[in-house]
Amino acid sequence: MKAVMDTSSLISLELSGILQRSLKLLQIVIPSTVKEELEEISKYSDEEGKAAKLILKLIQNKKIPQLEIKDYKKVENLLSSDVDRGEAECFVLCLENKITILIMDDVDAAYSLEGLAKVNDIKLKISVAVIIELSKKKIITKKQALRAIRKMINIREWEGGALEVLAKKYLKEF
Amino acid sequence: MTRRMLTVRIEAELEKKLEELAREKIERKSDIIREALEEFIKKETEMKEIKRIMAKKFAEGKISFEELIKILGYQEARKTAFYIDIAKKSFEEGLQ
Repeated sequence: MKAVMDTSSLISLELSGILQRSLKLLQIVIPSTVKEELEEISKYSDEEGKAAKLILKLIQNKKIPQLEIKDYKKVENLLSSDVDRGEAECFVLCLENKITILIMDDVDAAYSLEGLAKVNDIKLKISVAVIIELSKKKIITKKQALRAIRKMINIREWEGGALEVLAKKYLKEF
Repeated sequence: MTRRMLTVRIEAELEKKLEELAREKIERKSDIIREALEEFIKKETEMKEIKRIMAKKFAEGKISFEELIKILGYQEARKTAFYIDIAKKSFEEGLQ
Protein backbone atom coordinates (compact mmCIF):
# COMPACT_ATOMS: atom_id res chain seq x y z
CA MET A 1 0.00 0.00 0.00
CA LYS A 2 1.49 3.32 -1.13
CA ALA A 3 0.57 6.73 0.26
CA VAL A 4 1.72 10.34 0.03
CA MET A 5 1.91 12.23 3.34
CA ASP A 6 2.07 15.94 4.05
CA THR A 7 4.33 17.49 6.71
CA SER A 8 1.65 17.81 9.40
CA SER A 9 0.58 14.15 9.18
CA LEU A 10 4.20 12.94 9.31
CA ILE A 11 4.79 15.05 12.43
CA SER A 12 1.50 13.90 14.02
CA LEU A 13 2.34 10.23 13.47
CA GLU A 14 5.90 10.65 14.75
CA LEU A 15 4.68 12.48 17.87
CA SER A 16 2.09 9.74 18.40
CA GLY A 17 4.96 7.27 18.38
CA ILE A 18 3.87 5.14 15.43
CA LEU A 19 5.48 6.55 12.28
CA GLN A 20 8.18 3.83 12.12
CA ARG A 21 5.59 1.08 12.60
CA SER A 22 3.46 2.69 9.85
CA LEU A 23 6.26 1.78 7.44
CA LYS A 24 5.42 -1.91 7.97
CA LEU A 25 2.01 -1.23 6.45
CA LEU A 26 2.63 1.66 4.11
CA GLN A 27 5.20 2.77 1.63
CA ILE A 28 5.21 6.47 2.40
CA VAL A 29 6.51 8.82 -0.28
CA ILE A 30 6.97 12.60 -0.12
CA PRO A 31 7.75 15.48 -2.49
CA SER A 32 10.82 17.75 -2.06
CA THR A 33 8.96 20.62 -0.37
CA VAL A 34 7.81 18.36 2.48
CA LYS A 35 11.47 17.55 3.15
CA GLU A 36 12.31 21.27 3.06
CA GLU A 37 9.46 22.03 5.51
CA LEU A 38 10.78 19.33 7.85
CA GLU A 39 14.28 20.83 7.62
CA GLU A 40 12.81 24.19 8.61
CA ILE A 41 10.90 22.72 11.59
CA SER A 42 13.97 20.71 12.69
CA LYS A 43 15.77 24.00 13.47
CA TYR A 44 13.55 24.39 16.57
CA SER A 45 14.35 22.56 19.79
CA ASP A 46 10.71 21.85 20.75
CA GLU A 47 8.86 18.50 20.39
CA GLU A 48 7.97 19.15 16.75
CA GLY A 49 11.56 20.05 15.98
CA LYS A 50 12.78 16.78 17.50
CA ALA A 51 10.12 14.83 15.59
CA ALA A 52 11.16 16.53 12.33
CA LYS A 53 14.80 15.49 12.93
CA LEU A 54 13.76 11.84 13.36
CA ILE A 55 11.64 11.94 10.19
CA LEU A 56 14.56 13.46 8.26
CA LYS A 57 16.67 10.47 9.34
CA LEU A 58 14.06 8.13 7.86
CA ILE A 59 14.21 10.14 4.62
CA GLN A 60 18.02 10.06 4.64
CA ASN A 61 17.95 6.26 5.09
CA LYS A 62 15.49 6.01 2.15
CA LYS A 63 12.83 4.50 4.41
CA ILE A 64 10.63 7.38 3.28
CA PRO A 65 11.57 8.02 -0.36
CA GLN A 66 11.40 11.47 -1.88
CA LEU A 67 9.94 11.53 -5.41
CA GLU A 68 10.44 14.29 -7.96
CA ILE A 69 7.56 16.25 -9.48
CA LYS A 70 7.47 15.99 -13.28
CA ASP A 71 5.18 18.91 -14.10
CA TYR A 72 5.51 21.92 -11.78
CA LYS A 73 2.78 23.80 -13.70
CA LYS A 74 0.24 21.50 -12.05
CA VAL A 75 1.64 22.50 -8.65
CA GLU A 76 1.42 26.22 -9.48
CA ASN A 77 -2.23 25.79 -10.52
CA LEU A 78 -3.16 24.34 -7.13
CA LEU A 79 -1.55 27.04 -4.98
CA SER A 80 -3.93 29.26 -2.99
CA SER A 81 -4.22 30.85 0.44
CA ASP A 82 -5.34 27.45 1.77
CA VAL A 83 -3.06 25.17 -0.25
CA ASP A 84 0.66 25.78 0.15
CA ARG A 85 3.47 24.38 -2.02
CA GLY A 86 4.00 21.28 0.14
CA GLU A 87 0.38 20.22 -0.03
CA ALA A 88 0.07 21.03 -3.74
CA GLU A 89 3.16 18.90 -4.46
CA CYS A 90 1.70 16.04 -2.40
CA PHE A 91 -1.44 16.13 -4.54
CA VAL A 92 0.50 16.26 -7.83
CA LEU A 93 2.72 13.39 -6.65
CA CYS A 94 -0.43 11.29 -6.24
CA LEU A 95 -1.61 12.23 -9.76
CA GLU A 96 1.73 11.61 -11.48
CA ASN A 97 2.44 8.29 -9.75
CA LYS A 98 -1.15 6.97 -9.64
CA ILE A 99 -1.05 6.87 -5.83
CA THR A 100 -4.62 6.74 -4.52
CA ILE A 101 -4.06 7.55 -0.83
CA LEU A 102 -3.21 11.06 0.31
CA ILE A 103 -2.78 11.51 4.06
CA MET A 104 -3.15 15.14 4.99
CA ASP A 105 -3.80 16.67 8.41
CA ASP A 106 -4.06 20.27 7.19
CA VAL A 107 -7.82 20.87 7.19
CA ASP A 108 -7.77 23.99 4.99
CA ALA A 109 -5.77 22.26 2.27
CA ALA A 110 -7.75 19.01 2.42
CA TYR A 111 -11.01 20.98 2.20
CA SER A 112 -9.75 22.90 -0.86
CA LEU A 113 -8.51 19.75 -2.61
CA GLU A 114 -11.55 17.59 -1.81
CA GLY A 115 -13.33 18.06 -5.16
CA LEU A 116 -10.23 17.41 -7.26
CA ALA A 117 -9.40 14.37 -5.15
CA LYS A 118 -12.83 12.86 -5.81
CA VAL A 119 -12.58 13.45 -9.55
CA ASN A 120 -9.14 11.80 -9.64
CA ASP A 121 -10.05 8.85 -7.35
CA ILE A 122 -7.65 9.97 -4.65
CA LYS A 123 -8.76 9.06 -1.12
CA LEU A 124 -8.09 11.91 1.32
CA LYS A 125 -7.37 10.59 4.81
CA ILE A 126 -6.18 12.05 8.10
CA SER A 127 -3.39 10.42 10.09
CA VAL A 128 -5.84 8.79 12.54
CA ALA A 129 -6.77 6.45 9.66
CA VAL A 130 -3.21 5.07 9.74
CA ILE A 131 -3.53 4.21 13.45
CA ILE A 132 -6.89 2.48 12.83
CA GLU A 133 -5.44 0.51 9.89
CA LEU A 134 -2.38 -0.55 11.90
CA SER A 135 -4.68 -1.80 14.65
CA LYS A 136 -6.95 -3.64 12.15
CA LYS A 137 -3.93 -5.35 10.59
CA LYS A 138 -2.64 -6.18 14.10
CA ILE A 139 0.67 -4.40 13.49
CA ILE A 140 -0.02 -2.56 16.74
CA THR A 141 -2.16 -3.71 19.67
CA LYS A 142 -5.46 -2.02 20.57
CA LYS A 143 -3.74 -0.60 23.64
CA GLN A 144 -1.01 0.96 21.49
CA ALA A 145 -3.64 2.34 19.09
CA LEU A 146 -5.56 3.95 21.95
CA ARG A 147 -2.38 5.48 23.34
CA ALA A 148 -1.47 6.88 19.91
CA ILE A 149 -4.96 8.34 19.44
CA ARG A 150 -4.83 9.99 22.88
CA LYS A 151 -1.52 11.58 21.93
CA MET A 152 -3.01 12.67 18.59
CA ILE A 153 -5.94 14.37 20.41
CA ASN A 154 -3.44 16.45 22.37
CA ILE A 155 -1.27 17.26 19.36
CA ARG A 156 -3.97 18.50 17.01
CA GLU A 157 -5.32 21.95 17.82
CA TRP A 158 -9.08 22.51 17.49
CA GLU A 159 -9.44 19.17 15.72
CA GLY A 160 -8.51 17.34 18.93
CA GLY A 161 -11.94 18.06 20.46
CA ALA A 162 -13.77 16.36 17.59
CA LEU A 163 -11.29 13.45 17.51
CA GLU A 164 -11.95 12.79 21.21
CA VAL A 165 -15.73 12.59 20.63
CA LEU A 166 -15.29 10.26 17.65
CA ALA A 167 -12.78 8.05 19.46
CA LYS A 168 -15.33 7.56 22.27
CA LYS A 169 -18.03 6.78 19.68
CA TYR A 170 -16.06 4.31 17.56
CA LEU A 171 -13.64 2.71 20.01
CA LYS A 172 -15.39 0.93 22.88
CA GLU A 173 -12.27 0.77 25.03
CA PHE A 174 -11.55 4.51 24.74
CA MET B 1 10.10 41.85 29.11
CA THR B 2 13.03 41.50 26.73
CA ARG B 3 12.24 42.64 23.24
CA ARG B 4 13.71 41.00 20.17
CA MET B 5 14.07 42.42 16.72
CA LEU B 6 12.15 40.92 13.81
CA THR B 7 12.61 41.86 10.17
CA VAL B 8 9.57 41.63 7.90
CA ARG B 9 9.33 42.59 4.23
CA ILE B 10 6.13 44.42 3.25
CA GLU B 11 4.85 45.98 0.03
CA ALA B 12 5.52 49.73 -0.54
CA GLU B 13 1.76 50.36 -0.67
CA LEU B 14 1.28 48.80 2.77
CA GLU B 15 4.17 50.79 4.20
CA LYS B 16 2.60 54.01 2.87
CA LYS B 17 -0.66 53.18 4.63
CA LEU B 18 1.25 52.37 7.81
CA GLU B 19 3.06 55.73 7.67
CA GLU B 20 -0.26 57.59 7.22
CA LEU B 21 -1.75 55.75 10.20
CA ALA B 22 1.32 56.44 12.35
CA ARG B 23 1.02 60.18 11.55
CA GLU B 24 -2.71 60.20 12.35
CA LYS B 25 -2.28 58.35 15.65
CA ILE B 26 1.02 60.05 16.52
CA GLU B 27 2.54 56.66 17.17
CA ARG B 28 5.65 54.88 15.99
CA LYS B 29 5.25 52.44 13.12
CA SER B 30 6.80 49.66 15.21
CA ASP B 31 4.23 50.25 18.00
CA ILE B 32 1.35 49.96 15.53
CA ILE B 33 2.78 46.74 14.09
CA ARG B 34 3.32 45.29 17.60
CA GLU B 35 -0.26 46.13 18.67
CA ALA B 36 -1.68 44.66 15.42
CA LEU B 37 0.35 41.48 15.87
CA GLU B 38 -0.72 41.09 19.51
CA GLU B 39 -4.37 41.59 18.53
CA PHE B 40 -4.09 39.09 15.66
CA ILE B 41 -2.51 36.40 17.86
CA LYS B 42 -5.15 36.98 20.57
CA LYS B 43 -7.99 36.64 18.04
CA GLU B 44 -6.46 33.52 16.44
CA THR B 45 -6.03 31.87 19.86
CA GLU B 46 -9.63 32.68 20.83
CA MET B 47 -10.89 31.43 17.47
CA LYS B 48 -9.04 28.12 17.90
CA GLU B 49 -10.66 27.62 21.31
CA ILE B 50 -14.12 28.49 19.94
CA LYS B 51 -13.56 26.10 17.01
CA ARG B 52 -12.45 23.34 19.37
CA ILE B 53 -15.60 23.67 21.50
CA MET B 54 -17.93 23.98 18.49
CA ALA B 55 -16.33 21.09 16.57
CA LYS B 56 -16.74 18.93 19.67
CA LYS B 57 -20.41 19.90 20.10
CA PHE B 58 -21.09 19.33 16.38
CA ALA B 59 -19.39 15.91 16.46
CA GLU B 60 -21.51 15.02 19.51
CA GLY B 61 -24.65 16.06 17.63
CA LYS B 62 -25.43 18.73 20.22
CA ILE B 63 -25.61 21.56 17.68
CA SER B 64 -26.88 21.65 14.08
CA PHE B 65 -24.94 22.75 11.00
CA GLU B 66 -27.05 25.95 10.93
CA GLU B 67 -25.96 26.76 14.49
CA LEU B 68 -22.37 26.04 13.53
CA ILE B 69 -22.69 28.56 10.66
CA LYS B 70 -24.08 31.22 13.02
CA ILE B 71 -21.07 30.91 15.31
CA LEU B 72 -18.17 30.24 12.92
CA GLY B 73 -19.45 31.73 9.66
CA TYR B 74 -20.31 29.67 6.56
CA GLN B 75 -16.81 28.90 5.31
CA GLU B 76 -15.35 27.83 8.67
CA ALA B 77 -18.50 25.82 9.48
CA ARG B 78 -18.16 23.92 6.19
CA LYS B 79 -14.48 23.21 6.88
CA THR B 80 -15.33 21.97 10.38
CA ALA B 81 -18.13 19.72 9.09
CA PHE B 82 -15.79 18.44 6.34
CA TYR B 83 -13.11 17.58 8.91
CA ILE B 84 -15.57 15.71 11.11
CA ASP B 85 -16.82 13.76 8.08
CA ILE B 86 -13.28 12.81 7.01
CA ALA B 87 -12.41 11.90 10.63
CA LYS B 88 -15.54 9.70 10.94
CA LYS B 89 -14.57 7.86 7.74
CA SER B 90 -11.03 7.43 9.07
CA PHE B 91 -12.37 5.77 12.25
CA GLU B 92 -14.86 3.63 10.29
CA GLU B 93 -12.73 2.57 7.33
CA GLY B 94 -9.09 3.13 8.25
CA LEU B 95 -7.19 3.49 4.96
CA GLN B 96 -9.72 1.48 2.89
